[in-house]
Amino acid sequence: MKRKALVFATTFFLFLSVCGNVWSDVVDYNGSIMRPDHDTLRQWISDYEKAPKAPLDETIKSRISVMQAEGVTSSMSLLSHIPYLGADRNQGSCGNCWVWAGTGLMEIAHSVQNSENARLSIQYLNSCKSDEFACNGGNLSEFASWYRGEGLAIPWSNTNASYADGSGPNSSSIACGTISSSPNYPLSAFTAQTIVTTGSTTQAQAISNIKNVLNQNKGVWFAFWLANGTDWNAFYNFWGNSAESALWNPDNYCGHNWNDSSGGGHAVIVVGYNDDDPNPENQYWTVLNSWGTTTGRTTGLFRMKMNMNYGCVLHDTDGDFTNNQFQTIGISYGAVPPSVSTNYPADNAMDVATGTTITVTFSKAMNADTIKNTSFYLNNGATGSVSYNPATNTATLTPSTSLATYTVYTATVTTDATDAAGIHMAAAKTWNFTTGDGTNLVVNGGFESDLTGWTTVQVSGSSGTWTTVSSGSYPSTSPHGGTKLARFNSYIASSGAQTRLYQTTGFPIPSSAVASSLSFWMAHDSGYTADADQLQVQVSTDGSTWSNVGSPVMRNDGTTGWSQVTLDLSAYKGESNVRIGFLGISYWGNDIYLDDVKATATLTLTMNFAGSGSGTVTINPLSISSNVNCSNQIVGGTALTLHSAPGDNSIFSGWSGDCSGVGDCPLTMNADKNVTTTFTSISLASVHIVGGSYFDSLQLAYIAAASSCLIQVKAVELSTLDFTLNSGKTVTLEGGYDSTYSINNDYTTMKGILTLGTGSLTLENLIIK
Amino acid sequence: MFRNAILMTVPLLLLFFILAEAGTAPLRVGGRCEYARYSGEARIISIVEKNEDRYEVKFLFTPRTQIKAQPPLLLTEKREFLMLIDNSIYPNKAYLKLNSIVADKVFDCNIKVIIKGACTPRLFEFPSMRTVND
Repeated sequence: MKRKALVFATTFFLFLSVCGNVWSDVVDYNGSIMRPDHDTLRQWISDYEKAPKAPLDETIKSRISVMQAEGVTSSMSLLSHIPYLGADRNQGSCGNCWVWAGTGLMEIAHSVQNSENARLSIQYLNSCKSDEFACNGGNLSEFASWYRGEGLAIPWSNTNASYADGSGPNSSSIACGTISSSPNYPLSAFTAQTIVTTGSTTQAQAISNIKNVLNQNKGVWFAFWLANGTDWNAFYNFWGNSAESALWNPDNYCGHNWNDSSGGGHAVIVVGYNDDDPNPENQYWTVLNSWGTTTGRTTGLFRMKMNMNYGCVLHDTDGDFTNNQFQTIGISYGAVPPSVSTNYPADNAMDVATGTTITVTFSKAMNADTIKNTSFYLNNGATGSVSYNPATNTATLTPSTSLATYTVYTATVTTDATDAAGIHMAAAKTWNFTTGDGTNLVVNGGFESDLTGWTTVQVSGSSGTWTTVSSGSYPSTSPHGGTKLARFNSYIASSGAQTRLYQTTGFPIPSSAVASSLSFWMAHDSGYTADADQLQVQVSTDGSTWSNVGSPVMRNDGTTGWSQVTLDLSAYKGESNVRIGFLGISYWGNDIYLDDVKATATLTLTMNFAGSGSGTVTINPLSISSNVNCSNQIVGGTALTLHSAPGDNSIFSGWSGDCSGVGDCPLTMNADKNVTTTFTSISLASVHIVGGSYFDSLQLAYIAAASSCLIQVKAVELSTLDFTLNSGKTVTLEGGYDSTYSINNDYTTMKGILTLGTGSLTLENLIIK
Repeated sequence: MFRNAILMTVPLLLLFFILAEAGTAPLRVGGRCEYARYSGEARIISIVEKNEDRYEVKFLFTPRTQIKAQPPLLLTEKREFLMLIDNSIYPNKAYLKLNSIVADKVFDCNIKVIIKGACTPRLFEFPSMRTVND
């Protein structure tokens, strides 16, 4: 063999020397063609002939039979189950077509069985099959046997699992031990199966059998042998220089004599067929190769004539052998339970907006009937509706009311959720998040719900886009807060491309607002210093006209990392629909990253004090306290609790204005607020509700009293009393008490107008004048 | 007995060697391949974004010297080819910037054309290109 190679190389070099020059190196010899010993050869023949026959579906068989008899045409394709086509499927100068073809069958089966299009690793077998290097060739039985031993397939995306042997090395470029097997797809069965197409099988039966397997959603391995260099050149020429619509006819190479040095075999995948054309000469199998693309063949496919001689043989000194072999695989992946891939808010997220929705994205398609508010819910008594989007495998829980501020919530997806095949989640998904202060006027300012609430529009050019990512790559950047950030793709977008990211719905800024501001975080880096990628903040009050606010913020400003930008929005006070926009401007440098956008308006809380007593009011959680009339500037949206504490010899008699009652007052600053607090001096208080507060006024006591209350009145003359009974309560007024309300042996005199409306009033020891 | 054994073994060995020499039927596919390599140049004709940070770079290949008796896969005239890292990976921006790949620029380029085997029959090499990790 070496001698032949040497002769060939010498001849070739001479030829080139005559016809041209300057060929730096003429021929690459990537090793000798592997020749099996006789026992091995017999074993391979046996592998194919004795492989279990591919099971045929009788229903499909009958249907195909009828269609053939009636001349009904059809077509089908399994390409939707193959995750990568075209240039990505290229074995290069490594002779491992059999691994590419076998792996393609596994990918189809995985897609069909687990509803997940996953690209599987080629390199895994190349690196880890130790008995013989994959670039030296193999067959489907060998492939199945190796995987049976491994018991798992691994994704292409695992560490070191992507293809690295395209240069055709003598041994694998990647050490087996460096390839991560996590995650992986367990295999519970794996056999090579032969589709009966030869022997006494007629052409119609052979076609029917292949179609039968394809219609079971199984890929078909097609191995073919070409006897000599002339035939191979013809196939190379067909592949490299003809259009994708051209048909390859294997019969042109049928019956040729096998040549030891230039004959060879190749494996590809039949992924579909088309016999729409009633002329059998134009009916074809769709075949997926692993040779990348060519000028006229952009998806890496070729068409093979269906009306071919399936019993074709090549002649060898050992005898004839079948040169077209159709096989498939019997494979069972272990059931992969669904899981939650991503969730929003993220685990332990802080400062979550009170108006948020809760979303989970599952690893695979789910049974929508199992995604409901008993399998996806919040604790803390929050209720809401649950929906499921099958296009994105995403479930959304929308609370029926805004969540409480500063509250830890627990979200749960139970194992009652099942995938489309009825497989339950292996474990429930439970996580916590904490709501914030509710002051941000910008919904989804942290982009944790991706671009919900935001819209993008190309302003200049066509390549600028805004998206959300969990981390940036150009340069490497983590979100400023939460789990996502917004990215303008100036790393990719052509210089000059401009795209605006803006709020779909704006927010009001009250005219009474003391101030209003916008803040956001932008990442800076020192890459591509000559490229002035920048961000211009804009505002619109009508959704169509945009005005710049502040100067452009440069990505490359001499700093690195996140920094906060704050801009004044006071000019927009009184506007009812203020939209914030971010115009990304690309200079083809690095990406622009944006996070945690926040707009606020500052409002006024006016506190007044009334009554004969004294005391202090504290505004929580801001811890602002006052005992005199005052005005407080507070960020709009802040949820407050007002607490009153009476001073010495004083009692709290209640709230009025934007608060009421006699307990702590919850108050949300959604507008300017005005609150009056009344404190009463105990020594001067003439009225007391048993078990409750003291009052100067009988009318105030009546308002504060619950029905069936006893209201005690000192033995004094209430000289300016006007009293109206109108709230339907049943109360008793008992006069004549001493200064401590402990002894009742006198009378109270009431002067004024007593109006009796609704309710019931019992009077004791009272003189009405 | 010993003589009979020798008499039986010799023909069997001869038969074995004869069969071994003649045993050439191919039941495996793939295997080692052989290529011819020709030098030339590639002129970049377009750079179009394909998807996130991957670019479709097309070029025209011109052999340095006209070859009259060309293998079929050397039919390169007026044909556009894809520039791919390791013949399968679309280049990213870092690769384009690192190697100053822009439209109309010309690079040294070798075409590898298969002579024997079932590997990808036409491959390109760009010997002057640096990878990001270089």
